[in-house]
Amino acid sequence: MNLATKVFSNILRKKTLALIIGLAAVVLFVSYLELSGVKTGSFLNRAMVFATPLLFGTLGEIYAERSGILNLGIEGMMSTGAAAGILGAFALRSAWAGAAVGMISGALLAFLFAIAVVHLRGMQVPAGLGLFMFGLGLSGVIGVTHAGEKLPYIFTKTPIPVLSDIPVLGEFLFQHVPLVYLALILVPIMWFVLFKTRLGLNIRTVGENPAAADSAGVNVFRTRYLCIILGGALAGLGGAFFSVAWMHYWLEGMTAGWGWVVIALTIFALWNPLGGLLGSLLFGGVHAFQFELQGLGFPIHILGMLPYLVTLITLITLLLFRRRLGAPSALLTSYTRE
Amino acid sequence: MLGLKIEKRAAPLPWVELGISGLSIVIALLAGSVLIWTQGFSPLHIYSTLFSGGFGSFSAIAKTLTKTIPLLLIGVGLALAFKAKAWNIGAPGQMIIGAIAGTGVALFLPFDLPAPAHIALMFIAGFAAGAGLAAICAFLNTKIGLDMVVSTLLLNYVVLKLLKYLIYGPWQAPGWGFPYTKELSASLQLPTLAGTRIHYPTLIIGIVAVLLIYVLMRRTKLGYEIRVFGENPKAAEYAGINSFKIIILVMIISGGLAGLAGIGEVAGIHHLLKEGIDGSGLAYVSSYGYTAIIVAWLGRRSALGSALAAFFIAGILVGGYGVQLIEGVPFAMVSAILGLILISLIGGAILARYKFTFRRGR
Repeated sequence: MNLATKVFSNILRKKTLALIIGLAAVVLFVSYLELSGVKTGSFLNRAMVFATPLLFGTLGEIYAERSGILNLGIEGMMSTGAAAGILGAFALRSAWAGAAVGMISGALLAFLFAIAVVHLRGMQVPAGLGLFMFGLGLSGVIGVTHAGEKLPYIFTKTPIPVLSDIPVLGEFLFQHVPLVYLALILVPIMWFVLFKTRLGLNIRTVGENPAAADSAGVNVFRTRYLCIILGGALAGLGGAFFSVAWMHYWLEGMTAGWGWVVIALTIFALWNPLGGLLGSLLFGGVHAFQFELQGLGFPIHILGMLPYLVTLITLITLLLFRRRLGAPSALLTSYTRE
Repeated sequence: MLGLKIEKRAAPLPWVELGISGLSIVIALLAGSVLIWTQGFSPLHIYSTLFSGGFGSFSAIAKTLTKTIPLLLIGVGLALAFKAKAWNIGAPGQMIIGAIAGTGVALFLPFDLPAPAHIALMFIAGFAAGAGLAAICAFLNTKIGLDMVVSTLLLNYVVLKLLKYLIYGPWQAPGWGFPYTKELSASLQLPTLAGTRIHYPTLIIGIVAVLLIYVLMRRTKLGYEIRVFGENPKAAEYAGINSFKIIILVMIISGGLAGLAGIGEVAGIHHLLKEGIDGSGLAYVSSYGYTAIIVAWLGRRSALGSALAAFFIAGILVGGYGVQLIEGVPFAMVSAILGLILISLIGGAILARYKFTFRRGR
């Protein structure tokens, strides 16, 4: 056997192994659910709702990181998005308007961050931490007038005809509020743009080698601004989903660290929108599962650790499987023409 | 005509660095005043209440010093870690796990010890727990490349849940059903300066830590290696500097100091374990572990600078609590302003790298 086949069979073995383990886990899990009297369909439905804010955030962060910018401020932008979303919904008497306001607030915060790290070439990690604190503080200031107040303007569940009647799958994906569909549709669109279009190629080049992109005529600064602001808008939308579409009220700290989970999921996704969907569903599933286990008498606070621990352990497992994840090479570096 | 000349600066001047810190505070306060104004308050009045509440009287200074203690311990450790670009964002968790371990030693030690030895053991346990948690992240980072920001941060939430589990569960004091542990016996509570809550043993530990880290950074080969590694990890590797050693070391020190801050708060102030011992009583982001990140950057990642910054930020926290009580401005306003300080600091860092000179004519 020559080296190439050896390497190839090795990879194949690892992938098959991972696939078998994954399938076995799914089968075990579903049979467990059915045996313990939980409807798989409604469980998956809940998991999808939990996954949605993460999916918005992760898709945005994937674009930002693909352009070479690590924005750690997701949690801040999500919090502000949640608070601004509720304010917008109350003021404009519409859930859609609330979602839009949340999105705009996230984009504005991201713009502030972009100035600091793109033009002023500040270090991305501490600037992102600053954005995290600013966003959380800001949400507490602006949201306080409506804290805990029930929002009367909400999205209505709109089951998709025909598709929603498919057993299990229909309940999983096609019986939701419109924002969930928006997140799901964004996955293939953002995958296509990133990997199959000129714009996506430019974004990836900027993130891999900004100097080469620049000499090829790509505007590095504009591309990075675009990706950061897109990331902020989606994080803001994810935050607004928390308050406007899911809980129908706002409380300080309601995003509970999910913005940080987004950072982890972006790595887990290997900077690919499709992986982002998988990661979000995994986290959403664990989150939903922990509520099932609560009913069985497990201590709630120990169960509350699960989503974060599972995220960590999944990342560790992933890293054990492949040494190189393929992070954008220029991530964390600022660019200047000097 | 006035021309602007921009040149690259080889090494930043100390007064420029100080100027950037000052400027960032001014910018953040100005932006904050807009925020205060939009909420229907008078910025000038709020700021004067805030600063007099933090620094304006003897009792204000005493309160500020009390809050300086954890910020000092954590901030100086983070300054060291950040100098090596080891992004330890896990200080809130390391602080709480330190408090948990220390309280565990205080309440459940199976044998009797004289009080001073018992207290020392509590602090050692606090240091070890915080350092251990940080070391796990450092190990995963250097061995399999797990991003340290992610691991330290996710563990913050795990540890917070552990604290809740303990105080609502097995460690809850019998009786009233409050989410507290029972109180530490009087001999294990730290002494305070007369009439204040300044638990001076912890303050002394903090000052010693500042001095040791100052010496480490400025006077030892190891400190030199940490600085080189932080500036350029690749070059450091070529120069034979062991990255594993550096990252593990700075993480153990910063995590351990955060753990000390945690048990210090329990033994010196609250005398029991409960939620909010990490300073997150009023706003979730106001945990000392997060605030200390700003302390480290405001102090330009130096030991002495961090000590000064810790005092200043502690004053803002104390003033912020006062403003919330007196004027009804939400404490989150302080978090927002602190976040703005950090963003301005990072954006303003470019000033240290360039020389701007104005000259007449062309």
